[in-house]
Amino acid sequence: MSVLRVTDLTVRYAPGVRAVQGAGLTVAAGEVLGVVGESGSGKTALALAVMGLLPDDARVTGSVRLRGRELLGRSDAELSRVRGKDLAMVFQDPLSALTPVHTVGDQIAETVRIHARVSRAAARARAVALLDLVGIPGAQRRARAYPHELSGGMRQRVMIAMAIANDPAVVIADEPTAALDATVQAQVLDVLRVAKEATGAAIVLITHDPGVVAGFSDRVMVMHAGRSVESGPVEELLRRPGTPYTNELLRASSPARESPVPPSRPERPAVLDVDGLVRHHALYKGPLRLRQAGSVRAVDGIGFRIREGETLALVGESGSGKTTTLMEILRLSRPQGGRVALFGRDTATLRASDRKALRRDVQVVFQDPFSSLNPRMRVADILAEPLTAHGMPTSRARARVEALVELVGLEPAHARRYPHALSGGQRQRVGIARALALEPRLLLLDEPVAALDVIARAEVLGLLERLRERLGMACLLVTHDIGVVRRLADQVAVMYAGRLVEIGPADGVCGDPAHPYTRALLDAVPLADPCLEQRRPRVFLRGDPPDPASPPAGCRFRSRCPRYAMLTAAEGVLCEEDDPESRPVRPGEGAGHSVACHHPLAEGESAP
Amino acid sequence: MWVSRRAAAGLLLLALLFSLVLLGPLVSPSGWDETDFAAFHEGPSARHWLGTTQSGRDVFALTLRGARTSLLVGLFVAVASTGLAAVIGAAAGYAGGRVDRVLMWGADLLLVLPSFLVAAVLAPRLPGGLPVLMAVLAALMWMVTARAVRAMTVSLRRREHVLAARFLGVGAPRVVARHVLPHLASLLAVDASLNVGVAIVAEGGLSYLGFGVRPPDVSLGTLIAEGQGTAAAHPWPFAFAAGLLVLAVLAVNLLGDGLRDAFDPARGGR
Repeated sequence: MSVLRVTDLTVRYAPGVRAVQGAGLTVAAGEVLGVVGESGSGKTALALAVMGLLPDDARVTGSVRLRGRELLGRSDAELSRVRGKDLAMVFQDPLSALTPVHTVGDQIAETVRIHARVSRAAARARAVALLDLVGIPGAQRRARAYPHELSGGMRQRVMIAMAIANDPAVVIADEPTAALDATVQAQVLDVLRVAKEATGAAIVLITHDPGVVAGFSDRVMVMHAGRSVESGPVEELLRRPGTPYTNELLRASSPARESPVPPSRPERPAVLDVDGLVRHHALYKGPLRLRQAGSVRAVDGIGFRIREGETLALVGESGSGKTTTLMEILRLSRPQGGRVALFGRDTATLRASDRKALRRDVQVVFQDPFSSLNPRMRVADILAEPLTAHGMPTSRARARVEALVELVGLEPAHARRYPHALSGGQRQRVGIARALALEPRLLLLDEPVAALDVIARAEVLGLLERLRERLGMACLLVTHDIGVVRRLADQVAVMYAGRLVEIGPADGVCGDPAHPYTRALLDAVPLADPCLEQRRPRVFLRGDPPDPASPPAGCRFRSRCPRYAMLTAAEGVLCEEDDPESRPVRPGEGAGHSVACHHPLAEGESAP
Repeated sequence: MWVSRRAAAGLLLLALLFSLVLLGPLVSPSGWDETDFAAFHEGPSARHWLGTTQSGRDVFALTLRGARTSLLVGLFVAVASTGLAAVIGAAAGYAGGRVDRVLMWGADLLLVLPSFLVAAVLAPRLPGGLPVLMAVLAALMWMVTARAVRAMTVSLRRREHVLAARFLGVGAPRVVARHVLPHLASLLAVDASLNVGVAIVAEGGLSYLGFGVRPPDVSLGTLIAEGQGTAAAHPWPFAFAAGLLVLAVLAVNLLGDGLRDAFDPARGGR
């Protein structure tokens, strides 16, 4: 018995642009339908059309039936009685979907009171019960918190609580985990599952990542260019895709390394040497913000080394200090504490002219290609900027720009465009070309593919891989995505709350992690294979990273550590009192794999 | 560069105004500084196209003379004060630290002083004349915009494309010119176009105090002030001057709006 049936839905924007072309879907009560597709495939337009939230200039035809009643063609006021009650939505970005000036408890209570005649107190009690249901610890207290006081994962839980507040028949979740870390993504998907079981609602889960769908949904629909390409039970479809497009999507989501891991060559000279790097942000309190009340320990004494031609990946959840580390290196000046040396030169001793000369050799690719390119400059001007800034004459710069455009696989015609006329993947190629313009010896990559969807991600990763091989530069890669690490990195450094908890060769750290946090990061990556995904044992991390202004005493990972939870009181004392130091995993072996944990996982114990 | 229809309309209107102001006196039967003792407060006639004032001066020629002064003052002061605001605000916002504090302290000081009083106090002490008047007006009008520019620069400074330029080794003045100011272009275009009207009116007020344009020379401001009292009985002097002022302000606002759209490539093409 289907609760939501969409047939032959077409969404048209004013000048003949069709976002959705004759798509259809059905979901039964308690069923989860995954809708997968890259950006621009029309999946969000489909969701908004079902909700009746499309802008006024969009024309929708077809049929959307909720429990047999037609929704299309109803007025906004009529739909408002359905939305939030029988039909609820969870948006991608919970920070912009929640009102910043009301407490989350009030916002949930409001949803309840709009659709049901209950007293204020009853609505509030219901809000607390819902927050409890979605696993927010201390729900009574957290109901009085404002959205900015909660972490991203907590906010998304609030959104889910709000969606199920009136026991809806259907919940539409549009990329509910795209803005979250992999560790938190697993938690939120779990909450969505709990919510489904508590309400018996059907869930339409929209995502670009087949891995998210594999572990969670019963049936899958693949969308491409506004059409539903294929649909079927999740196992059948993901194991034996029926169309080449689905096949491509699946292959792109599980990136396999194309080039073999080069053996480490310790005799090569170091390009970047970081030792005991510290960056604290002072926190001020009081009415005039004059009293210093502690400091945020963004980076708290980390050290690593990158040799010529080598790629080191800095991995960790958001807020662990990865990007701060990158920015500290890029500043090319004396750090607050510790030492940064580039090509053997200490940055604390550089003069302004040295610094400018050194910028040629150290370049960066930013995470978001939408904000890292000046929207008012054409691609050719963006690429020429570093060249002219370092004194290359215009005529030679023009030839170099043409070469760069070709190097990153763009068409010559793209050089005349503005960034807004390019797709996300193309923009990121421009960002990479700009970073390569001066032929740097060290390339810093800050989440280079995090803002791209699956297929563009696979293409850009392939490009980075080829370029690195061809140009032989060293890379520092900052990412939270283990898939990217597996594909690009030779060395891996895992960061948690401003510290390195594990560092070593990529195959060692990913294949045989010694730190429980690394293990949890690896487990959090969803697989696109439903059988493997549902069968494998997983270690979930509970909660959020600690407040960097007051990390717990002893081991900082203690509050979330699954291993610490299983230790006896006598064993645990060490974790509570002693900050673990980094030491080799296998003493005597010179592989350089070391871990900062009192009770590291033994070899083989962590194998999946 | 593609220019929007609005900007073209504004530009056309402004060109028409200028040609009227420059070519009008050539075809007018009477000059602006002539006095016709046979006609006081008369309506339009063949000899005086728009009538005469109470002192027997030709309204058409007089108003065109005033409009020429006012257009010059308005455009120059608007461009100068907005330019000053852009330079000072961007420098303060981008450099930060001590430069920021000193520049904004200066701006705040000028803001709390009532600018009209300052000009009135300075008036008798300075040699008069249009150039000085324009400089004083420009120096008293940049502060609020400079604060807005500074605030926007501070937030732009943290944008990734600005960071990217800095990490590429681009020097600070070049970063400001290429990556910060273009993003403020729409604000500056709108600000400059609004300032034209403000400057024309302020100039009128100051001229009334005997500072700047002195009789027998005139500006739109002085003409409107003079015509105001008798506007009910003799509308011509007032209506023509006020109409030209409205057209001038409309023209620059259309131009400013059009430029704002043209400066934004993502929204252009409409």
